[in-house]
Amino acid sequence: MNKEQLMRKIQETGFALYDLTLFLDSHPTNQMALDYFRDVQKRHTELEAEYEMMYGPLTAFDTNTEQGWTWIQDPWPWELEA
Amino acid sequence: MWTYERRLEYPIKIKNPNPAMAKFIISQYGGPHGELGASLRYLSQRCSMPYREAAGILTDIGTEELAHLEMITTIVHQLTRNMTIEQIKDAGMEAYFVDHTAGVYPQFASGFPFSAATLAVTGDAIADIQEDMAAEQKARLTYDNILRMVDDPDVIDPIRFLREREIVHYQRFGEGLRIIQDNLDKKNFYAFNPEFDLR
Repeated sequence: MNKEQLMRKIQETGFALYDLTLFLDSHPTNQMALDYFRDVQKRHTELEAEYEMMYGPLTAFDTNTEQGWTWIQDPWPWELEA
Repeated sequence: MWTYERRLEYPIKIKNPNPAMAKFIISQYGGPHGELGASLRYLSQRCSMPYREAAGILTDIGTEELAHLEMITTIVHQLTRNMTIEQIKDAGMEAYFVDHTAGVYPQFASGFPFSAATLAVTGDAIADIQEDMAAEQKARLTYDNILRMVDDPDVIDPIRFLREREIVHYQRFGEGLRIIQDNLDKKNFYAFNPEFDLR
């Protein structure tokens, strides 16, 4: 997957996890939602690890300093060119 | 604490500058029903919320609103980058330009700066959660009004996403209200303030 395709996948699993988070706040014992959360959580973690290895950190704490301070490399999320 | 994730919640890539659109979309950053006020409302109210589930809802929706604030600032930035002086004049954006150039400032569509008077923290679980439900509807109707005026598909798509989230948040706050009421005297749950009177 190229950078944009992989980012889109992370946005999809990230969205699913966030929506499930809100649902679980008001339905904390819903087993179906808990199982679904666990499945998406695993996929999201894998996608993030793949992205960070290939394209750079998603959070400052994940920066691999062997490659320098890649956290501030271009572009920032609000700067993407159409 | 909070940690920045280097991504938007939903992708935004706008091809053409359009300061006329930016002039009113900026209201969903710092306007009366905007994402900045929403975030501050929920993240402030949560401190006195006595029930676990509702405190979680306020924390997590308040945090998602920060991601929405980022989306609105991104839309405004992408609509105003590379704009020419001619485009600024044609859009009637001279007043904003004189004060902020192409910076993104939290203000109402009318130009009034962001005001904490657009939100309330009553310290009363029912009053706060009812305000939150109304706030989500007010944000939803503002997005409806914006959608009536925009014709660029690059802008319509993320605005539709944001509108949909207001509806989901309204649903979750409604469940929060039900949970609060279930915790109170079921015969008379409007008679007292659980944060203060049940200590």
